Amino acid sequence: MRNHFVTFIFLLTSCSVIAQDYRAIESQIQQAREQGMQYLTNKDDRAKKTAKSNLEQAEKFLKDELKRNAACEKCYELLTATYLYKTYFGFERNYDDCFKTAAQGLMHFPKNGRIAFFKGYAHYNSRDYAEANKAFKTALLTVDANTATQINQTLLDSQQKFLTEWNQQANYYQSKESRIEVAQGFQMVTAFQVTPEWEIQLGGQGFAALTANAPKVVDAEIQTYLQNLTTRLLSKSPDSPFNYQLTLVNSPEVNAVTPPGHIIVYTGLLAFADNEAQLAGVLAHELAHNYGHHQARAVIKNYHIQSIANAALRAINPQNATAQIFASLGANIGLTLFSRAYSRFEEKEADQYGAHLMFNAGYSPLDASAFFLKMSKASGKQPPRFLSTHPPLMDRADYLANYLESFPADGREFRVDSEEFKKIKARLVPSQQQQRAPGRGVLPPQ
Amino acid sequence: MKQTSRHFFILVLLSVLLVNGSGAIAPATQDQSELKFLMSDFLAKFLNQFESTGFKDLVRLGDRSTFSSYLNASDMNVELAPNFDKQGKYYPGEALVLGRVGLRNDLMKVNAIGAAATKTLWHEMIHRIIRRKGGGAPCLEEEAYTYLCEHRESWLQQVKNFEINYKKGIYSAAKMQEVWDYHEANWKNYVKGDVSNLSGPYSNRDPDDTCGAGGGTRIEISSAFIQKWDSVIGIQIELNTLRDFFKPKIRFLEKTEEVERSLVACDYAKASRLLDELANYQPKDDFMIKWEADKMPMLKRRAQAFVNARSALQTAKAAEGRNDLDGAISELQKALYVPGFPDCLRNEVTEMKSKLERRKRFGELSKDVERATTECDYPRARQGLNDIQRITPLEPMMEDWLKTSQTPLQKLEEDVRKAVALINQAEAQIGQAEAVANADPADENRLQQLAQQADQALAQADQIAPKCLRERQKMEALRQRLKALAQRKKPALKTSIILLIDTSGSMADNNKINQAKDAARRAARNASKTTEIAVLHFDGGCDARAMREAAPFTTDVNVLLAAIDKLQPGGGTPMYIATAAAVKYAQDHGRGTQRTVVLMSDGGDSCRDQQTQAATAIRDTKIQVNTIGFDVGNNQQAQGDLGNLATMTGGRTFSASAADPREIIRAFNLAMLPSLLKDFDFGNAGSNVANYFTQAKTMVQQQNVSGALMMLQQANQLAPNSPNLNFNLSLLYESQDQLIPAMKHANNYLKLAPGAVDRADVENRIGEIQKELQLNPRVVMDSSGCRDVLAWAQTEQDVAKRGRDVARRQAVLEVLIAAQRGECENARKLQVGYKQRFGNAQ
Repeated sequence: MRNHFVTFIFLLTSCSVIAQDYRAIESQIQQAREQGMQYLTNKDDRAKKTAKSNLEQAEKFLKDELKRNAACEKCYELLTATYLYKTYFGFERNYDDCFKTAAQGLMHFPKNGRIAFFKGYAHYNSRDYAEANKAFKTALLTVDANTATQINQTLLDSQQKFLTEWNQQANYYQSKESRIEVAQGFQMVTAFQVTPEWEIQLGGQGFAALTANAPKVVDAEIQTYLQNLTTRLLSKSPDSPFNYQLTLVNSPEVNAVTPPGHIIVYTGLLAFADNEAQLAGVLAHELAHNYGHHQARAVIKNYHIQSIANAALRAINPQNATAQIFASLGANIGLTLFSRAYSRFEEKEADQYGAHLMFNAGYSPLDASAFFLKMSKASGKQPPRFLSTHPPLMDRADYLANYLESFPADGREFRVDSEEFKKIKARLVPSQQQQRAPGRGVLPPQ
Repeated sequence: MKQTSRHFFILVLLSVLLVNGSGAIAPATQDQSELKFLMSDFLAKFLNQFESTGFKDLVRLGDRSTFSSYLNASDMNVELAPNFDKQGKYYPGEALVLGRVGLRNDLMKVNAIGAAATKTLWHEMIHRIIRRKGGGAPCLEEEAYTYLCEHRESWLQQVKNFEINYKKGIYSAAKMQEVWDYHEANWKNYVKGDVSNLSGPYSNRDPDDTCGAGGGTRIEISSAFIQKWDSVIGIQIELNTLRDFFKPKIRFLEKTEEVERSLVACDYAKASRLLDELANYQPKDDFMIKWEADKMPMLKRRAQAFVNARSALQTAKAAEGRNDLDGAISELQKALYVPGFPDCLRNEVTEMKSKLERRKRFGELSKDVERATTECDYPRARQGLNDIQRITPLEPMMEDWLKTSQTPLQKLEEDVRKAVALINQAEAQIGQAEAVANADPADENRLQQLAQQADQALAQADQIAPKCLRERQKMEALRQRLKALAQRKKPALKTSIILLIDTSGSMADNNKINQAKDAARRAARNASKTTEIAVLHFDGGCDARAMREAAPFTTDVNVLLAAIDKLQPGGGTPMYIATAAAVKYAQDHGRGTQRTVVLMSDGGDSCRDQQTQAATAIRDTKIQVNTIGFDVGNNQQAQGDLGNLATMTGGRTFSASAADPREIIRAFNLAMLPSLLKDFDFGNAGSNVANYFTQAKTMVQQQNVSGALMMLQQANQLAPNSPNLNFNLSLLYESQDQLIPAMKHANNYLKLAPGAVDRADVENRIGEIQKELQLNPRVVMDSSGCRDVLAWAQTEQDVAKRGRDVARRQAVLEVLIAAQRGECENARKLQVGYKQRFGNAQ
């Protein structure tokens, strides 16, 4: 009993010691921040040293502390800040440690605004505005009014950038992914450059292969409607690489495919979508694959994989190489390319871009999520026939719903449905009432 | 020793039997002494039967030792004769009915020794004592005397019961008196003349013909006779002493009852006096002491409560006298709360309280009526008056007040009604006058007439309207409007806009020309009064004549609409040449300080060889050209041509697809926005609001519409009632394709400026938006009502994902989506369903 009491007293005192230490460590980090700023503005080496050693000491202390006590909320908070400062002042290459610590911390303490606060700035600094927006929003729920004003300024900027800088492939034709270079002497020479025309040609082959045996439908109303919907999606987001020709295929498949220059929509999709916004979600997703130049990038990537195996290609002269490259590229193009499953990365990028296309055209990306959710529910009854199911539908539905949180969507008006869609849908899916067998009704009098 | 124990045994046996109240016992023996012992014991009990009564000292049924010695005398023989049933002298009739005892000469026969026989035994022993001790008496007198003794004993039994009932508290005083009187009256049956005592004379018949004088012979014995034999035997029974004994008890009881009565009757003084008397009452018997302990404190409390209530009533009356109604009411209320409040005062107090409350209510209401009247709040005054009328009963003072207030209020109300009607009339006339003033050209005569009528109406209203009437503010505003009309200048033209419309052949495709015309019509309607618009169009070949005038610069909407209606497509797209001609047209004819050309085209320039020259001419005029690419899609040449035109003139370029007819409308709105915005109209809202307004306008000119929106939203928080602010917000929202808020602000505008000149246009716009929303529904996402559910769902989503249960993931996503959409009620319902199905991991 006496021993227990002593232990208890000891625990009490050690706790208070720890609390004291957090304050000390907090002011140490604060000092490091000031020194770091001085280093960055004045190139002051002594300040740099102090800042660095302060942060390292804090890091070590907090890591040890967390090892002893995984439920130390303050430690996660301070460690996230420590890593943020370390990277910001250039003592660490990237924010990975910061993100890792923040993720762990938020898993244990999802409502901690301070962790989200530091996490938000780390994301913002690494230009991941989607994540920055989410983290800032979380932080705003708990911080004081003064901090909130500061966060709001950054959040506004972050949201602006999020809305305008989403297209990572805006300068695709200038990027390395759009060309094949071969070594000539000591120089790298472009042996092949992807152009819109080439992509459209590629798309034409894909279109021919995909629709060769498909029962095409000619329906002016539906086609005009879909063409207009596509135009709306494309015209509200800049840098669409292609114009599109619409083809309607009579098939129960809930599907749409967009080889560059073509949109193939299956009637099953129109019947399955609940409203125009969901349909727009699917079209936006498919168009987004082209905003990402996924086909062309796949071809180029495929070439690189092959060329590593074929070392001989590296030594030949460029003119010859171009011819050969064309030959090797042509072989795999066509149906194989467009019926292949998109990679997990490509799907995620298309989901992201698609969400932006929707948002810009006045639709809520949430309707895309709702569509995938509906697909997921329906797929329990029959095998899923939509696109590739890789990653699984629920992952994508979840992802889109969460991605919405990065948009400034609250208080914004979105399109849900249109008269035309309802009309077309009514035509494709006879309503319940019409399908119902005649009932007994009223017995006429004798 | 032996004898004693035997007697003792018999005694015990006897007492048991007596207690049990059973009949007689038959001793097993005929032993004289044993029988005598038993009989004398019964006799002693009989003689002492009033020992336990309060009047034991006043009554004796005979001297015990005399009876004992005569029973135990040796010449007295006793015999237990179970079959004894003799009648006649010395064998009285009662002996047959009760215990049978008979005395003849020296022999006393009993058929059983027991309590029932005792009274007869006493009777026979009186005979024996008279004959032996008193030397005898005549037979009939002796018989009468023994009957008298028996009657007296019976009567005493009744008195004994009377006392028992008194002690039990069963009788009220009145009942006691009544019973006592009854007993006294009973005694009259035996006693002639003075019944104040029981001493006779007494008369009776000899019932049994004991003395052989014939049955039923009446005999009378004198008081002296009775006194003589009473003293010989030791009997003492007097009515007067007994009456004296009971008199104070009845009196006491009477007083207790009177206390209660006087308390009920609120006669506190009497109650108090009686209570004092009762406290000092002498002598006190047990009953009185018990009563005093049990009842006195409660009665005293009641008496005290009465005193308190009285004093409260007095305090209240005093407060009423000081006109302190609240004080009086609260005093009465306090008194009513006190336990034991006397019922007799309750009515008086409650009545007084409600009277005071009525007065208080009247005071408040009448004051409020007066206040309302001075504040010109006549409905309130009328309401107050009605409320006063409902007070029941109305005191004369109140009725008088009502009489004097009714008429002036009626007159005031009538005046106000007239004044308001006049003001409304003036407002309508001023509205008409303004409409006339805004028409192009204005009908000055009509304007003058309307303004004069309105002015007269206002003057009349001014005479009759009470000074405090709220509508006077409106009057003031109307006077200002009249003044503005009088001082009005023809509005200075600020902006000259040319709508330069491509009517090339391709505009016939996709219904484009109609969409473009519709958009142009709306733009013309929306333009402010300080904007003049000209409609020009172009098509055909590559010379300056390709540009033609559909309507010259005008502010008359109807002219513009008619011109737009006539536009027909056909020919090429000489864009630059036409634009050059249009900017020159603006330069030559535009009267506004700012001149803008809004060019709308669906294709690239078809006269490319003259482009450079035309571009130079355009640039030189420094007139801004805003361009709208209509349905240009990916036509890079068209995009380039339109973009360049805008860039080189400091204008902006917009694009609209023909897929959605609203897009071209929006593009026109955007291209014309700065001139469509109304000026700040809310001077008293403060400089902050004005600043937001100016900044917004600048931002619109810089084409930063979302920034301008933010500014106006801020302004709207400070001055939500500015009509023009709402108008501008509506325009900006519409240009941003946010139709729901656009409609909201347009409605606000109409509400705030009911007489607006452009009312019809705005109503039209609202109608179109409504139609659009009906056909193509929109939602405004607002998750602020269920942030908690949203946060819960986000965390739960991770849990569900780790659990790999697809159904669970679907369910939680449904909650999340509903919460994000702001369908909070549904979100909460789904959340409950989810928790029921999957539990709550959090």
